[in-house]
Amino acid sequence: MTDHLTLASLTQVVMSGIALGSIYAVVGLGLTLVFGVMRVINMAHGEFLMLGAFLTYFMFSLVGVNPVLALPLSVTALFLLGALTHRCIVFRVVGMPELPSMVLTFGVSLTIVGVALAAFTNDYRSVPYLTSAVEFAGIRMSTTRILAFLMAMVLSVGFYMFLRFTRMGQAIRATSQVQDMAKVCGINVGRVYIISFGLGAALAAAGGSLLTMIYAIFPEMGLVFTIKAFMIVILGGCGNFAGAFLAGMLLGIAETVGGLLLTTQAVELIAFVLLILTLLIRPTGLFFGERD
Amino acid sequence: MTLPTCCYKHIGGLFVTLIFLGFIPFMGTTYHTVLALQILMFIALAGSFNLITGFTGYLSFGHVVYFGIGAYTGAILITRTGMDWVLASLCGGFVASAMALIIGAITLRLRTHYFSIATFGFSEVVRVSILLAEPLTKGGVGISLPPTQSVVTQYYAMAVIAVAVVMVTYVIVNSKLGLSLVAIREDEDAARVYGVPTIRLKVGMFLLSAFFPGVVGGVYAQYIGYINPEVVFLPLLSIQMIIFCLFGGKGTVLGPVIGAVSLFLIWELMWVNFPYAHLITFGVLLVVVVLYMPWGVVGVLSSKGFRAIELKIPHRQRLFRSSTQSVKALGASTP
Repeated sequence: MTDHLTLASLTQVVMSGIALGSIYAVVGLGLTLVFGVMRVINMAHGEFLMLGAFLTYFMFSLVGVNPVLALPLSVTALFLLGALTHRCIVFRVVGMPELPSMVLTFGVSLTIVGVALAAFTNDYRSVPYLTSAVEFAGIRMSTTRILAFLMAMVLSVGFYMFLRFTRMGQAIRATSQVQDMAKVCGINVGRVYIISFGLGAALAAAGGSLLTMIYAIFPEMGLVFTIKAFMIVILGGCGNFAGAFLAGMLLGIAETVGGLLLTTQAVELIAFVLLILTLLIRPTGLFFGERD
Repeated sequence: MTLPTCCYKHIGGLFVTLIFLGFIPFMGTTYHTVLALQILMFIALAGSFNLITGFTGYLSFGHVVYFGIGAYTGAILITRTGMDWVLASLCGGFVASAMALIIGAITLRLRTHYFSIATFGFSEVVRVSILLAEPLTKGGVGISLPPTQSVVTQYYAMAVIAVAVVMVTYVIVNSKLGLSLVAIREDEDAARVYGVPTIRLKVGMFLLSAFFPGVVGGVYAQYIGYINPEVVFLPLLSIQMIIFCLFGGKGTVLGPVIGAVSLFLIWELMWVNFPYAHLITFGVLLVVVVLYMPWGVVGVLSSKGFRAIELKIPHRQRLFRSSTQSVKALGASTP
């Protein structure tokens, strides 16, 4: 135990945890947005992620587009799909109690999984892209993890800038704070909903595209990520974007460090255990008292 | 003591059903018996899920965990101690209830979707714990049980459980308990203010809704002869419970029965030719149910003038009238 738990290897594990966590953060930000704005738990979030991942995979394997360039395409496609899903189905349950919305989006997610299984079969696939590694001061990192981390940071910062400085971003934040007041101020809340749901799906798809560089993908991968994203939403404090970002990082690090000490099966439980503990001990989230 | 008139019809219906169920093994081939066994299993599972979700409105998202615990308890008791499988299945039910007490004590403080996600989290935790507890459960290898002569005895066991679940639901629907539970579902805080012991009732119902899947799990282990975590903690089972119950009609006596019979037959017909079509069908059905028929098939039939399908005894004819009803009657009579 002691010989492989050196400082260098621990740093290496934490760094790769940060890379994984940054992807989780992007996925979690998407669900935070949807939940914060319309109080809908989108159970199809992981399925949007899965679709984004498969789009990236097919663009890589069929057309030869590399994942970094495929990302904007899958993000755009999933933005449109998300907006369409909201426009056709989900808008009917906004404002209803959480349970019908949860069951409804779960129905959407089952449908997507069914279609994906029929279309792509149940195989595991991966994108063999940049399989080399970079070594620096005794710490080895795979190139794809570094790249995924950088992309995730660009996305997160870009998303933050969008919320902070654009008119639409301000409208989204206003709606998530006090919906009625936003309406009174002349914000088209219906449009904010559609854009937010689309953006939520787009962020999930971005996370999916980045994950193809690290993990194998398969049609039923979505549910686990829905749960992880939900855990990030809760841990970050419902609807709190900065909190969600930190929670995503925390989950990533916890999982990779846990991977050193535990079996693969047990690592899958880390998210659930963290989720249950958060719900019991600090249901308002770890970081801040109030949501922004 | 005279029973209300509609009660005689309900009892008559029960007898006809019992006779029909009793004759199924003699009417068709083994395939039909097995099919009936599976349908009865899903009636029992969806009916148990209905007890917690249909009445209190708490969506238990990983209800399969109690089925799995029952199956493992049953299998371990049968193989290690040579216990009779009926007794072992009952023990499975009690262990499942004990687990529900632990999970419920923690999760039932949470509301709505927090509860759902937390129960799902627990179901995963339990599944992986069973996988890791190799000395007891043999991990992923699974447990093989001594083979049985025929499935008929297991069929009757399933029939007894399914009928028991439906009867329990019937009693709850037509009692003050049912009224209290519906009050919790519609507005928990208001129910509390009116003196409904919400926490006690919720935990009680959670235990009850875990007990039957536990027993079903034990019987299933004996019937199928081999179990492993993949088989008895299959998330699809949770999904099926949710869909069968919601499609038939949550919080009703016949809802889970109608849902389980109709959808299981559809599933049985489809999965051979279109292996993934059932997921799409189930998904679309969930969307349709939430948007257009929140009370399921029973709700639709009931609103079309076929009220009898709810199997409700009119309040006026009940033997034990709920106090809230008498209070209402008093209030109505005073000017």
